[in-house]
Amino acid sequence: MQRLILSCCTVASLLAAREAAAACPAGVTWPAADWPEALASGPTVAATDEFLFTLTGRDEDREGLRTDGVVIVHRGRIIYERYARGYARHNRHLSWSVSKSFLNAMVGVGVGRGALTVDDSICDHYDADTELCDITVGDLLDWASGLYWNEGYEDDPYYLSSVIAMLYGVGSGDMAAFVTAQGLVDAPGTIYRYSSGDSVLLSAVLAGALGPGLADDYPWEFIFDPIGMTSAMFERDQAGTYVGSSYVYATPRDLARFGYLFLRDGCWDGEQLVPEGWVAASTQPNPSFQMGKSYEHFLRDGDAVPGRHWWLNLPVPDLAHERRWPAAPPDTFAGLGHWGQTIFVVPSADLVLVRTADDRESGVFDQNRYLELALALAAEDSP
Amino acid sequence: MTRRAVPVLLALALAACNAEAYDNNDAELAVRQKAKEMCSCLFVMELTEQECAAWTRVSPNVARATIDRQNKRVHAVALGFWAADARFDGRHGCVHD
Repeated sequence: MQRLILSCCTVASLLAAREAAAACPAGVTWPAADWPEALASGPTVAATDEFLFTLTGRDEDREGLRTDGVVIVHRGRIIYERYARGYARHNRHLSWSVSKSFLNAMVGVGVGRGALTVDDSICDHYDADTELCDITVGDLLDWASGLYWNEGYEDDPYYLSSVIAMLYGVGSGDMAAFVTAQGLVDAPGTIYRYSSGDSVLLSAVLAGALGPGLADDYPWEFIFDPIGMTSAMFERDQAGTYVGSSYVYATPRDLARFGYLFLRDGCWDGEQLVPEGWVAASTQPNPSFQMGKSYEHFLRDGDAVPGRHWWLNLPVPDLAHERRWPAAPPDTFAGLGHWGQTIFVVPSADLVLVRTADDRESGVFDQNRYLELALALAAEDSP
Repeated sequence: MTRRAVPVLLALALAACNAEAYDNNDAELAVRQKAKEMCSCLFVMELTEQECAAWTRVSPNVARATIDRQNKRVHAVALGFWAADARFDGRHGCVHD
């Protein structure tokens, strides 16, 4: 029955989102080979420079805030762009877990092409043990597979971290197989638990759904090429599975293209690239989170509300929790990665923000202040 | 092997004996991390060797990398025993060998 309720919720949210979605917008600016520029020169520029690019700790000890690049796009034009610490416009940057939001888009295109649905069992597309066949594509998008996972990084003992074992240890040869070998600890679809393992398994499921003809090319055919992300690279494990949890690289300008795709509701230059309704469905609190049994993970792992491989700026009334970024409108959503990688999308302000960084010290970057400054830059941008 | 390496090896061996742990020790993880991330830093992010040394530094910082720029490969070793390799593969970036 629980599975039935979730399935109905999934379908209902997709249908509602589909009704709410508009056709591709007309009269907006699209980047061609490169972004148009309308660089800001107002009073907020200096404050933004100082906030983003003043080293606040000993750089040689990797302390404090360490921004590598920032690109801010307002109404389809770059209004702010800076690089530091050896980075320039041409350097790709590791996006870490922002990659998960790319994977969301790729799954969306796969769904749009009819290769899979969010209600499919993973066993429809991936050779998993039968006990895992209750896990759906939607569960993986919600980080709610129920598989054991310890998403620990540098601050935890390395030998206990599932994600470090997956990326560099016993799981690195065939990461999806490593993930499924962790075993179920919860019923699928009932508990939100942030997991890079779920994302990598989702990559393998998507590849299986697409078949050998597309398994290698789908990131480029679905997303990178259509939106002109010429710098994009996407790394795989030794089994050939894209590491959808972690390993998309691109320049900040190209990362901004991806944010702009979601700002425009999955449209690119008049074409509905990501299916209509997919962006809206992906930027609602995910169903397993809404069930309310996993707030402990929410409070431990961070306090942005999980959508489907995106992060939301919504309150959680049950916890008396306010929005994660109070300076930003509630429709703000983000792809967030380790060490300060961020793509923020603010639809109501027609704004995309990309930051690449190497913040090894957790909590040093005030994302709310960053959004506040970007919104001020946008407000100063002449119509 | 130097005398200084002995306590490090003992600590790593103890860590590897933890019954609840994944079957990796820190040196093994360190060389695989160093090989792959140094490869990606040099050939995907296109930073300098000095910048990539800083980018890939972990604790314990026991892995040392040898770079083959012509073939776009990185070989990493730790404490004279553990080793790992990674290679650049075009738009697919770097992958362990």
